[in-house]
Amino acid sequence: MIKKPVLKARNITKIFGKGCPTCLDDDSDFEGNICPDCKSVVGCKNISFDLYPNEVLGIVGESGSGKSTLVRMLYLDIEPTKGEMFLEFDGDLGDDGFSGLPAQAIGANIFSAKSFVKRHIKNFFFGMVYQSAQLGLKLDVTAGGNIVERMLMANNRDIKKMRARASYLLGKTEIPVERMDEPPKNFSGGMQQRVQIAKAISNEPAILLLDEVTTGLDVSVQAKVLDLIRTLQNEIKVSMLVVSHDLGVIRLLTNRTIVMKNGRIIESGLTDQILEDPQEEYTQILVNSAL
Amino acid sequence: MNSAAEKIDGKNGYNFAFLDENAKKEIRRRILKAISIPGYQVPFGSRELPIARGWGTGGLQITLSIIGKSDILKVIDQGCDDSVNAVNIRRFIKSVTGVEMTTDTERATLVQTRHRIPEKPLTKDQVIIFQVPFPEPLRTVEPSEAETRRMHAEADYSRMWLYLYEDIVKCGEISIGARYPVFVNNRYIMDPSPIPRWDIEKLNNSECLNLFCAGREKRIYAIPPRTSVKPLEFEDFRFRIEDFKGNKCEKCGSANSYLDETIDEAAGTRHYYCSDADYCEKNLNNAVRK
Amino acid sequence: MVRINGLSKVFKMHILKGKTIEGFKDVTCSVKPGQALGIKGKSGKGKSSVLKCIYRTYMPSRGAIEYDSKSYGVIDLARANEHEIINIRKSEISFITQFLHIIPRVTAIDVVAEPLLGSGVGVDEARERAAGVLTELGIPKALFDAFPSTFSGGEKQRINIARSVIKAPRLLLMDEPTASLDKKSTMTVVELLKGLKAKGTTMIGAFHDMWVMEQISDSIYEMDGGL
Repeated sequence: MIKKPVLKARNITKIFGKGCPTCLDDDSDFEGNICPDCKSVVGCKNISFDLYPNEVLGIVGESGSGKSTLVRMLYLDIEPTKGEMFLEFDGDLGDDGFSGLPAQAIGANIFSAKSFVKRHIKNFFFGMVYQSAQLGLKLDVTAGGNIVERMLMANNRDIKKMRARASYLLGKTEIPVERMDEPPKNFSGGMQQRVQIAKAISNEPAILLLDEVTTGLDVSVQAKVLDLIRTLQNEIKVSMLVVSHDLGVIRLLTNRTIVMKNGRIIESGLTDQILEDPQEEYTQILVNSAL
Repeated sequence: MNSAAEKIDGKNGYNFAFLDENAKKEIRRRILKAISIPGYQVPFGSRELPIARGWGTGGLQITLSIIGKSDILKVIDQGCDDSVNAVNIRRFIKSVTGVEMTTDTERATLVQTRHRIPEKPLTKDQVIIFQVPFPEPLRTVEPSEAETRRMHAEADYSRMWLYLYEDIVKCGEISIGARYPVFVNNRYIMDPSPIPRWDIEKLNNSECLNLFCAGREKRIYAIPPRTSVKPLEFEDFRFRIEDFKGNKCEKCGSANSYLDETIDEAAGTRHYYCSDADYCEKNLNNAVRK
Repeated sequence: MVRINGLSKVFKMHILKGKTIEGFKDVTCSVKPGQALGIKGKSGKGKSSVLKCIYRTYMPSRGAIEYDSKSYGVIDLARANEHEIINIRKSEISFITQFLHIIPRVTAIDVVAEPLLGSGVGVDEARERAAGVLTELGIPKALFDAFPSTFSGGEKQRINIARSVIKAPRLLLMDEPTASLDKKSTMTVVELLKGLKAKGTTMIGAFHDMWVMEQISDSIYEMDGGL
């Protein structure tokens, strides 16, 4: 009945600085995010969780709680100081045959995989939408080109077919198809986010990572982006990790939520339970700080 | 091609072929590595020569490293044996080796070239040496050397393809003229040096050994004989060679050679001539004989 | 079907300097399959909290909630893991809450049809069935494609009910389902719930309206603890 997790994170720790036994040992802990002995900054400490197929998991916490650091590590943008990540895939391979996991990645800790395995996973197993479109898009390359790039990675070499798929995805994300050959630097913030989403889903990833995707957008534009994500949840079979400091976003999109503070998970549970019956002091403050 | 005895037989007080034997040995080792990994850029310690970098010092170092007394050398610049650059390189090599020089493509055992491949297909007994200004085909899309090396190592070429896609979106076709990127042995993307697209096909499954060297950028790479070389192309946007629209060489009448276009400003007319001087001359002689 | 044993809920309010608030204490009751249990008690006695504990919106402090689930057999909802709860919520238990969770910018008919889509029913069929329930609850057709955020309290409540019952849940939790409804709508809702019960849905509900409670419930549990 309950499927295996698509992603298992185990004791992921990221220390910015030289690190010492106090901040690196799984068993030791201390208050705050500065190691009392070596003064290194703790980005994340002992993060473990499971993400299940088709599940939408929220990660909530204030700025500096390590949410984005965690997502960047999962997306293999930055390397953890220690920890493990395992991926599981039992779905169909995409048409391109690339969407699955390379054999070397099955049952292995992805963090210690070879770089080409990591790149394959980044390109075909994950889709990532960053807070800033600058990180997720090449703003000087056309919107269509940004989307087509992932298909090119999958050795697609038919321009007409790729452009047809790109216009389909742009249509889905409500970008006027006439603007396909314009660079996203000409677009508004909300449109850029939607191009990022179109790009992220172009290779039908198993996991979509969304890092503060509505932060910094106007409320009405936020609404459009959130609606798009909700529609995608219903239409495509994808697991999502939604990182946000905004409880409204978490409530709207997720089933389960992890609360982070000072780089640690302090509480996790069903989203409605976290919001209505938070157990930890910090979560209670967070919930009661909502406007 | 050269033996130990040649060491003491230098010209004008220099060692045979100017470079000292250890330098030649290093370069030859790099060449062997380059031949073993077709299309892969092998770094080497580029030597100082009595001509400035950027004027063919890469090609020159290869030539000096592999030339032997029995070799016959041809040097061309854009297909022409008589340009200042070609003449000076030839004179220099003659003065430090004493080997025979030729303009006849068929007679040459070594051909050092800038920006062209002779029209007459080279044979298994010949080696062609290309002078290369920019060895890194990915430099157009990525400024960092560390990153381009990673891209080659992982065959991560999507950004090159994206560049071509963007070109098609903007121009309706791939607008690259010379330096058209190619796939060597289905593995590495390689810069074929600024030869015209016309010459790209000659690299594919060629009988001769092709050596490339950039003196300023300190890279050697190679295409061994009978190696697959494919230009980057899309299924619905194919690679095309230059189209001379039916024009022929005004000297020899050739319709299937690469033509240089010159414009007579006074008369306001265009003229077409073979870029390969030796080919043109032979064509002309044949016609006269007939 | 559901057996609640010594269930208690204490809220520890860290933001009020660790003050504890007792929600309710030692609730013990049960309901048989296909029957309805009414929970009675004055305002503030913790009726809603009991329901929320069963649905696991609240984390129970003590006691057990044994539920004879279809997917897992007898399971203690107070301790089941999150994925079991999510699955049971998706396929077995619905909750008609007092406060409306209307999804923004989704039309009435799609709000109601959504739970069906998650279980593999096609869009057209789901919308057709949603239209059926909405019609049964007296929502005019003109409102089907409007956004419920603009609706009256009574209309919103009926959308909420329609959404909760469209899949004919095995267990239906209800917290004042008729609170904001007029007499006529209340009667309609009562008829709908009776019909659902006749088809086998087990129910636990808190009602302020004694008439509604008597119409639906087979047994009544009276709460006397709490504040």
